[in-house]
Amino acid sequence: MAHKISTSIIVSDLLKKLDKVKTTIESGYIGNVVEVSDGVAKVSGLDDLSYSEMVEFESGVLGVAINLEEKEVGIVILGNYLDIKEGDRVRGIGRLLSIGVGHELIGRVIDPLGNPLDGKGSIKTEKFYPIEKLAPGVVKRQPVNTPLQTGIKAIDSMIPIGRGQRELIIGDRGTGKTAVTLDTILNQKGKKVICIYIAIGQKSSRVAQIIDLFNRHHAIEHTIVVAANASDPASLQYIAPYTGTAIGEFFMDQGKDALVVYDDLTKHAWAYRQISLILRRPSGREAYPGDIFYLHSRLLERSARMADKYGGGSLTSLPIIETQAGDMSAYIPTNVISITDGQIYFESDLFYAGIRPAINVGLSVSRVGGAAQIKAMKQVTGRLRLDLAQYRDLAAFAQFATDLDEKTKQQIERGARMIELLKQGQFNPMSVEEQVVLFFAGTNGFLDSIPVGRIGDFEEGLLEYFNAQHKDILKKIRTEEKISDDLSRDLNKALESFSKNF
Amino acid sequence: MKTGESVSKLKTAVVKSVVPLTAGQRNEFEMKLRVLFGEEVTITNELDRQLLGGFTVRVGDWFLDASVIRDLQKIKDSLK
Repeated sequence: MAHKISTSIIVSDLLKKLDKVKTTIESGYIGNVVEVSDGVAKVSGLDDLSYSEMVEFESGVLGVAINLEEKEVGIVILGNYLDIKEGDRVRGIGRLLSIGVGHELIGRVIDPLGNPLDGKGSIKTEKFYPIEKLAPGVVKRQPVNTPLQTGIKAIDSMIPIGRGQRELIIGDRGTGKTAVTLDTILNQKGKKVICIYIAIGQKSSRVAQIIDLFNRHHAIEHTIVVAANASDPASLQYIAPYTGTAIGEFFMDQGKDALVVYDDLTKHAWAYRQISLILRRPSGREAYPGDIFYLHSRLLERSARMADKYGGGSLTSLPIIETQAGDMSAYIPTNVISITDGQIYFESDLFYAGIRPAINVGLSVSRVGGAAQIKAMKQVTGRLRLDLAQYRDLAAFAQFATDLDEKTKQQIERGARMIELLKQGQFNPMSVEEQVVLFFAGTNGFLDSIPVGRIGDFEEGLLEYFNAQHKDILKKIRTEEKISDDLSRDLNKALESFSKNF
Repeated sequence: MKTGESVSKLKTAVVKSVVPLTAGQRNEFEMKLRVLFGEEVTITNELDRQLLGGFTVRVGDWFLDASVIRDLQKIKDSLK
């Protein structure tokens, strides 16, 4: 088949493109690499370089200037530093470290510089957002008042998270911290929340498993993954959280809601410590540099709920911190606890006792609290926290149950059943209306006659029953968001008929 | 003295061009560079046919590139 494109079309197309090209004279300072070590280069000659400005080495590798000294500049190398030789030429690019942002990133896996890692082709973005940015001021914000449903019963009932909040997830290794954030991301399907999962210093195999999980549950359609794995240079691990935040800020500025998960900030602190030590900055406690607090505070302060005048969007953060032997009073944990709006504390003891998610409700808190819950949830879980606290106090006497008065015995029995109800499997986030039904059943005594070991079956059966025969009640809870007297009566009737046949 | 530290930073300018500079052009360079750097700059002219046209200036670590080959490279990059 002959091609019918005439040369005149090709020529006019080229001329059109050439018209758009503007050539300007280029001038500036050329630097030379004096020293290269472990991800940091010392460069002389770049007299007009700005702090945090991007530079390009002769080999094409990028860097960012983070130490401006009298005769030299300390540049963190964002890439393979083995390609750089002493004497190599370096030039400033003239713009601050920034990343391409936009809707095109949704569903992709990228590195902290915006390069795709999933093999699905290059990403063309329209806008560039700076990676470092000042957090929105007080006037631009409004209080957090919309819930971010995690789908996890223990969290949505007693430690609710709102859109725009920072909630720290803290605990030892292997206690289920990442699992909770993954379930939260899965639960945002159809809720118009863009999720950004930032993997800092993790095993590549682990990140691959997480991406596979997103693909299987179709969560990748509303998620962006930023990965700086354990074998990536410390510089990339250092900027990864800021990259993810910049991406989230794009959506927030558009009036949308975004969720960012930082997994985890402990490794982020290690990466920054490595860079600071190589730059010979003075070190303090545990060899961390003096501005380790500022490292995290400036990151987490960028999460906010914007005032309606500025779009009304929000950026919610779920930073993860790994503790050693449950020590919440260590340096980095205490730093981040003081920055965030609450923490969810995971304990190994609870995990191995079979209570998963292994959340210690007593030590966990959400400083936003009830403002981030729908009225229906508040109605059914109002006393839950208190009841569980009392149960824990009495738990020691559980062995002597026969010697106690009726009221105490009842409290112990009720507490044990509520704890059983709060257990939840992985990849099983629950909608808020289903949770309300379960808690309604629990706090109104419908579980009291069921043996503790069968609560799980009861829960499964109850939800099946409601989804099959009482979809209208679930819908009412979801739309009205509160339990009116009529709804309460309907719930009671439905629960009674289910309990009879169980 | 470390490698890379410029020896005579602001004294000599190396102007590369395809054809030798005329006296008038030399004068202009000297004047402009004196304004830019705040002190006397002596011009050394080197010939480089690779530039294809225009010129480049190098004063210590500072450079200015107004060569035709750079323009062509920029056009080539933008057409990709």
